[in-house]
Amino acid sequence: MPYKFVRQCKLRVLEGAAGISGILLGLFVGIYTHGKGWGSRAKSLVNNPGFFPYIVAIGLILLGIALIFKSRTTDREKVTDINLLSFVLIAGWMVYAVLMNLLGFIVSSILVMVFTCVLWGISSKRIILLVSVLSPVMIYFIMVRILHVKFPTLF
Amino acid sequence: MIIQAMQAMMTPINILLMFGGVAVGTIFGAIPGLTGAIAIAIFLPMTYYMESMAALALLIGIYVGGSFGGSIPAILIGTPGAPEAGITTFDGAPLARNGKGGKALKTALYASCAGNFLSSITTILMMSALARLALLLGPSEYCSIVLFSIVLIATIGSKGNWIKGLFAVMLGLAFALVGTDPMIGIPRFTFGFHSLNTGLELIPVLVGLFVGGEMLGEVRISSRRKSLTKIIKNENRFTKDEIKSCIPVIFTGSAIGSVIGALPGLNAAISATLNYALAKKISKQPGEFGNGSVTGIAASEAANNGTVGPTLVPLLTLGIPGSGTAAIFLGALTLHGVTVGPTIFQEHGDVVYGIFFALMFCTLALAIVGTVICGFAKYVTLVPAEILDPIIILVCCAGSYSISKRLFDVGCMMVFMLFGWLMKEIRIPMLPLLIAFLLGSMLETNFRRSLQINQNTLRGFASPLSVVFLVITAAMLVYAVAGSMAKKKKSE
Repeated sequence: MPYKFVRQCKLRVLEGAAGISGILLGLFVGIYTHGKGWGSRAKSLVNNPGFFPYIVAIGLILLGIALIFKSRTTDREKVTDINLLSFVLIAGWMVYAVLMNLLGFIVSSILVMVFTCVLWGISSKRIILLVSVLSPVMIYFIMVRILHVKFPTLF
Repeated sequence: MIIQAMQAMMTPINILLMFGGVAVGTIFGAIPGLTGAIAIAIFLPMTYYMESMAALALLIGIYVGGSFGGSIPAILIGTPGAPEAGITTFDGAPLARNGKGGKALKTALYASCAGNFLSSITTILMMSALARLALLLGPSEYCSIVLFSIVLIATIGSKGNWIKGLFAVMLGLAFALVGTDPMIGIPRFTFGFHSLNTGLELIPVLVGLFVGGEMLGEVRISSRRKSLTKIIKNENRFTKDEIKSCIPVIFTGSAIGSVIGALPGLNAAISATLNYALAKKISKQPGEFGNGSVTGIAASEAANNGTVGPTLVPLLTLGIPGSGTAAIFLGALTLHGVTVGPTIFQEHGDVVYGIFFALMFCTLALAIVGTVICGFAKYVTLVPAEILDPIIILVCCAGSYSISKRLFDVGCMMVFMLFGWLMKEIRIPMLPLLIAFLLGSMLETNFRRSLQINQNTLRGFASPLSVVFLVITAAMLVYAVAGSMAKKKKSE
């Protein structure tokens, strides 16, 4: 069933992109380690905080290259669906993480749950209200009153 | 002394506390973002005014319940409640999607109880031998075992695609670098953020990866699909063949769990991985593994719960807490005036035997409590995804926040949700990343300790046990590469 917010992408393209990302991450780890001087100052591997980062950097670069080669053998017809609304959802929840300190746990959670329920396609206003209000309140009650975990509050 | 210990532990109050503890632990373990260890930490201060046996009865109950609880979300929503339940998702989640969630939960429950019970008996009989074994292993042996486990999960967790499996391992090791250098204590890859000085927290990474992978791609899509999950009538029935295939893996799981659990620092995830790989190897239908095999669930759960009792062996006999949970138990024992170490049998023998009686009884309690909880839990799959998924994300955020009261962890969870979702779309397995993240610090620390002990040489790795594990690791890699090349030639 075609959804307008879903884009099809060739799997081999994504695998290649993952490989390139691995290489870039490996280069970053290696260059950052070298820049910090961790590898050069220590006289032994024991006191060398740069040893394992270098190993990981080399591993990422080699496996990134291997993944790029592997992607070339992936069936061209294989596609995967990228749901663009997922990025919107994550962006919304990142804003929630910021708002929690300003508005408190309950208010910010109600807002983000309304946003999420609407994004997820719930059409019934009653269900949106029920889910968005009940779940933060119950979680707050269990966490704060029973488990004594402190959450940010509005006042 | 054994009879005295049993009498002291099996009072009506203690029995009630054990049942209550098992229920609490199971519920905590079943909520993504919370774990049995968190439950123990929360209830520990409440035991201050309790009598020591009663306190231990409650905490052991929570411990046993929490060890099983993580498999409930692993099966029902494909998100493990604890890292060791990650292997259970391979077969549990497909079974639940096919309407057999109840069967999967029952398998996990009975295998957990059996693995736990058998390993507790093994531990009582072989406690001193297991403690001596723990002393034989040095940093090089630990490093070799951890490396073997990481490569094993990369090969079995990737379902044939070893490049992607190893790539995931490298990513996990890269994330494990964040924090403080384990030997000299300088911040590494913290980029000036104080929140990163202690490294990335496990729970946000764990729940982020799996929740993101399971749910993010379903935004709006799940509400437009007709509900595919149903509870198949009579799906709880096991066939004779299924029961027959589960029995050997439960025994091997409890044996592997007993050994792995008794070794400080090695965790239940390694035990579950090893037994799962062994079960797949000896199975007559290895192709079923990863697609809803009851034997796979039994193998994973028996081994992971088989470490429950033995994890306390190095704590009680050597004073070495081998895991975070054991460290909390050390706090509990200290609070109640119990000194751990080699003289514990002479000074507090009744406590030691009491603990193991409690472990065995709690296993029986788990069989009863777990049946009730699973009976309700399986209906979770009938709740529409568009209602359930947002609630789960909120619970995970609350759980991530509750660890260190930092919004940074919530943000971290979001980043890993995105990561987990992208990994799922690109078909890169998440479990090798998670296990490598969990074990990366241990791998590096033990490697560098081995160098330190052996004057900066690799001499330590020439020990027989190290050689065995390193050779097996190399053989596994060669087998994986050769296997995929042969498969490619065959398809051409």
